[in-house]
Amino acid sequence: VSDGKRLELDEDIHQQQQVWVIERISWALMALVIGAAATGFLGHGAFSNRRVSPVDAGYTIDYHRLERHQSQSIFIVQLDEEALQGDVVRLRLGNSFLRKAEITRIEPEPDSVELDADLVTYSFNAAAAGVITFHFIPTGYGNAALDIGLDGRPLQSHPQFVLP
Amino acid sequence: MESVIRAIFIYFFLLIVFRVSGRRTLSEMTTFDLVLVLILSETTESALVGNDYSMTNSVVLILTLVSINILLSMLKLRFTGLEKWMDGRPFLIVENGKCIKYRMAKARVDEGDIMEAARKLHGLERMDQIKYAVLERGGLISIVPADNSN
Repeated sequence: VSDGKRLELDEDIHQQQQVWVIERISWALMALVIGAAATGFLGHGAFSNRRVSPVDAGYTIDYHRLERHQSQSIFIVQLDEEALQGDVVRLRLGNSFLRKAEITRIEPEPDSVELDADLVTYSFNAAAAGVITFHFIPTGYGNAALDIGLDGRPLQSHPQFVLP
Repeated sequence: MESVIRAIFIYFFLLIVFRVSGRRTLSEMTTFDLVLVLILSETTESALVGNDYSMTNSVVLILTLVSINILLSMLKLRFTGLEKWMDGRPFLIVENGKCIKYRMAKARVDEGDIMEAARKLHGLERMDQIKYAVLERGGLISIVPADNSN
């Protein structure tokens, strides 16, 4: 192979070989990122999905451990039978979550909403509140705790991380 | 400020992705490549703009992207090493009618690509009519015909 002198070519095959190595490594990294996305390591997938039933909390929650900024998402709170005994169910949500997310819809709609310094309390008709779905859009980045609890019981913290 | 950061991130992300995808990736567009470019631009738009569709945001994004481009072109002029890594260097893939297979394989170029360029540029019919074929920095193949190619 000529060094290209006769052609007056500004060739640097040594550097080009380094570029090819970097290219191959980068392709492997791209495949890793795609694999991570497919399995939920970048949110909204098997790795990210969580179903938790905290002891004595009276509910089971399905949520995403990893969220994506400005991406529509949900968490679902399924209330235990014993939590639905009265006429009204009061569900409390910590403000730390609301500072990093905008709730766009709640199904079923709460009968009333009370705002406090540290939390929001939603009141639902117990007959319709077996499964409550919160639709929200993460508006912040980084760590976000989904603090949630029934009235009269301690808030349970469910950690989330919002990816850019 | 977020718009500026978004624009800088997307600019360098695209720069790196297209650099490591190889110089032949979109150098000669097929119909599907064109569709791919359109999809990429649509995807990039949402990452760039986010939920801010204001004219102010568009102005900030455009100015940021163009400014980075100007800055990088100035830096490339001043630091040739940077240019070498960002744009690469042309290299031979055919010499005196002989394909340099190793380089062609690494650059994802086959004999068909070379003959296509030879036909288009010089109306050449055979590989032995090519003195040099060079894979240029932009991914195009340039052909120097052999002296006796006619």
